[in-house]
Amino acid sequence: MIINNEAPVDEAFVLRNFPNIDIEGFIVTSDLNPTYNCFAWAGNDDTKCWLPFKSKYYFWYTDNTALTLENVINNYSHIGYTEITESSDLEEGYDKVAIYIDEGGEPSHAARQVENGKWTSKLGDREDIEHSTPECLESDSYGKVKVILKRPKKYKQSSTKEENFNEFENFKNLAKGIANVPKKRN
Amino acid sequence: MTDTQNTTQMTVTTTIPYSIDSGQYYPFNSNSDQSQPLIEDVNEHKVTRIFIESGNATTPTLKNEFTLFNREYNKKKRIKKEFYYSYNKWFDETAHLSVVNKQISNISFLKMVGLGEDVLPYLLKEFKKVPSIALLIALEAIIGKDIAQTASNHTEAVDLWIKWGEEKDLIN
Repeated sequence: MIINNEAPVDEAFVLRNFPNIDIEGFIVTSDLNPTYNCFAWAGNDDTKCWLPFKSKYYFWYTDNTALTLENVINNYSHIGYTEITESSDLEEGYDKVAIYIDEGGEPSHAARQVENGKWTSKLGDREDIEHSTPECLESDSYGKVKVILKRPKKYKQSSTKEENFNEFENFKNLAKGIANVPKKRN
Repeated sequence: MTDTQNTTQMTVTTTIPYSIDSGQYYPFNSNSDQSQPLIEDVNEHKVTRIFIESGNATTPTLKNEFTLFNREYNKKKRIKKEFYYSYNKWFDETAHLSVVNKQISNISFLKMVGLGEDVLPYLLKEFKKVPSIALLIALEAIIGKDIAQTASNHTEAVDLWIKWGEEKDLIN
């Protein structure tokens, strides 16, 4: 697939669409690329688009095809994001993902916190950008940040749905303190 | 500009540089069959030169050909203009959105698709640069079938559509 970058994100575009952005803290970090979308990028995947649609063009961890906040939260739980937090600040030992909903309550965007405490977002079919806070991208297009999820940094994310499902199950078991407990033999 | 006069046949052949603004000129081959236009690339408006046999330039037949050419030329020009107006507006308004439903329900997207098969060369040209899922849907809607039916993912579908466009001579 050939990807060009003929209409790069510029300040005018950003200011027009994201009036709350901190223009000083904003940088473009990739070329324009429609191969992956924001939900995938927030889940550390730059190879495909994530949406709960029954289509060969999309990936989703479950068979639920409803574009709801609950379904998106559930999807990220499959890669370890099982806790909800109030804070978008950098927290030692944790990865964070922010989920945005539009005025109709439908998930519209997701962003991920990076090592330096800033946030990274894939702008639809366009570029990845780095921005100071999740709230920076609150706008008519993306709506507002509704939920911030977190997972331990030590969580090992695999590249396949099946492996992640096993990881997810192990994580749940670990969290409940019942993982690796050998069953009693009679 | 070069002029060559043939005194025996009283025919003047003139080489005129072609300009996109001089749309009234009809590019035809003065050396052989005059009815065969020398339209090298009307879509791109890149006809570099034309030959006009001025002795025949005012005959009714040629006048008709002028009219036909201009009509066709203006139609293509109008469709290209309408396509790029809608495409650029649509891209600017929706390319940063992640949910494809919002991209394809945009009014400019619908206008672009509504222009029909005439826009395929332009659409495929943009698709090759930015092969988005929304444009895959536009292509499928315009030609009425999924060329990438055998594809199992986005990348494979893009490759199949580009291959199809090249085979149909719709991509330069």
